[in-house]
Amino acid sequence: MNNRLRTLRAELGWSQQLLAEKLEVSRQSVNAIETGRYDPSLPLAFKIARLFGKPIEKIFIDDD
Amino acid sequence: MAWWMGCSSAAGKRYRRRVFIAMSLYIVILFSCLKLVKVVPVHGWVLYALAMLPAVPVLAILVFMARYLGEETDEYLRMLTVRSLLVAAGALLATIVVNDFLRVIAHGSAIAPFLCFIVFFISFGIAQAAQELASRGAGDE
Repeated sequence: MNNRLRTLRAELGWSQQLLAEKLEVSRQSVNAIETGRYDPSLPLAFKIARLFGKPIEKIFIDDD
Repeated sequence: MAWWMGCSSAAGKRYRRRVFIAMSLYIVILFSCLKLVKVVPVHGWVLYALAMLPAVPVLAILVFMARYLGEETDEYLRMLTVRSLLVAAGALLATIVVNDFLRVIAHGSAIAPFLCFIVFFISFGIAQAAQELASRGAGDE
């Protein structure tokens, strides 16, 4: 699943570490999600959506 | 070793502290038991108890692993650890199967049974390191 996490984070000028702290996860987790190596669970996806103030489907793009 | 059991998480730090204590106790208990058995003539249930004592901290590490998985709030780090545990379990079962066929057919044992635990931990460490290497550099900031 593709996502726009890196773009959204860059727009706010946040580092991976800062985003990780705001989401209460590790920097490795943020990196893995951004690079598409890991799809977050629904609760984490909602947390990300809330943090950026956008609906989930505007951040995570279903390839199908 | 940033990859080791969720190094950046509080649960990972707690796990490493517990394992360090368990391993320190293991070394003390193991050498104390070996020395005691050699110096003092013990038999019966005391000897059995002394023989089993070094296994306690080793088995405690398995409990600490389970506790880590329960306490880890970072789902990605938890997934990496579970994946490494599956690799380690596979390596352990493969070792046991090969060893048993050697024992039954060739009437010889390639490794002592208690070394299986070492195979498990080494495989676990290699799997953790391999996952870290695979992800290193990809999108790192």
